[in-house]
Amino acid sequence: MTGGTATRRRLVVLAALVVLAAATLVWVLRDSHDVAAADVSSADSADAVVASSAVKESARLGAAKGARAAYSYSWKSLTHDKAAARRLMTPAMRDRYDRTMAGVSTASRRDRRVVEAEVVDTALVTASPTYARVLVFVNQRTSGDDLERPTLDLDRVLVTVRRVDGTWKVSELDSL
Amino acid sequence: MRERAGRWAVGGLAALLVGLLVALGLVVIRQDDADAGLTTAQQDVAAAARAEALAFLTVDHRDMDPLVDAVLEGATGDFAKQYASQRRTLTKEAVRTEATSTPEVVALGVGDQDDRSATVLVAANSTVTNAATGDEGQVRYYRLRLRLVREDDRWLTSDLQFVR
Repeated sequence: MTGGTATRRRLVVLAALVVLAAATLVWVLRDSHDVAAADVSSADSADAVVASSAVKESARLGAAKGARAAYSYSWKSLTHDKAAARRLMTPAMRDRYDRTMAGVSTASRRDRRVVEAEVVDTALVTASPTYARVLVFVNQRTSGDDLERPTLDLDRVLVTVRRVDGTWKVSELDSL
Repeated sequence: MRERAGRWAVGGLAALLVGLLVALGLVVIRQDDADAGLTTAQQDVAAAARAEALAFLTVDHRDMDPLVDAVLEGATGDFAKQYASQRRTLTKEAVRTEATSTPEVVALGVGDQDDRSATVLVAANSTVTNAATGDEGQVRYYRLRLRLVREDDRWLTSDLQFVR
């Protein structure tokens, strides 16, 4: 009988500890999810972090490559350009990019449009080892039969990248 | 019979608890992915650059002197010298055009940074009114590049350019 009581007491204590540990795990997981998903747009935000100099530099490079590919295409090499851009994107970003480009393709062949994006500079907003945001200044030059002379857009793009299998892929492009 | 069931339950719960603690440990280790020194250094220079960019883009023709002072407060070197020498021209021009400019920072990032210097990019929008725009004003879109240097433990702007 005493053995039964001791076992019951142990059960109650263990059950309480299990609930406590589970609750803590849920809380920690939700908290970390919030930080990654938070709309950090400025490096002076309390949520902005720098994992290391190496992570910072590789994220800036990845964001620059991804933005240049996403914002460049020529009517002559549209299939090739789109494939190159898609390679540097996460699956969700690819879907959004495909929808945008679906509207662009027909017009670009008709007007023989060439869009060249030049990355002027990049700067880090936040970078964990697997998630980063980079402010990218992009100059986008557009020429085509429908334009009397090429246009130049001076863009500001907040590029979100995620590290997948060692490479940074664009997961969000936010033209400001 | 009940005694044995109880022992099984204790064993099961103990195993579950160990599993949860291991998971918790892994999550916490993975979360510790910020370098405290680099993170603080970046936040410090970013805050200084934000203040300077906002001061630089703020215009109010009714009272320019404190606005010019605010820019100079965060400036050093050539930028401070040039800006100080422009005080009268800036004020006269603001008064003549009845200009106001109310800026906000849309995004801000830090480029190359070491212990003594850093480059910061700022995307800012400013609502501008003047004699030509009427009361509701116009929104202007800016790309700024600031170079900052650390002097006496403060980040000061030594260069500020619009990025073309």
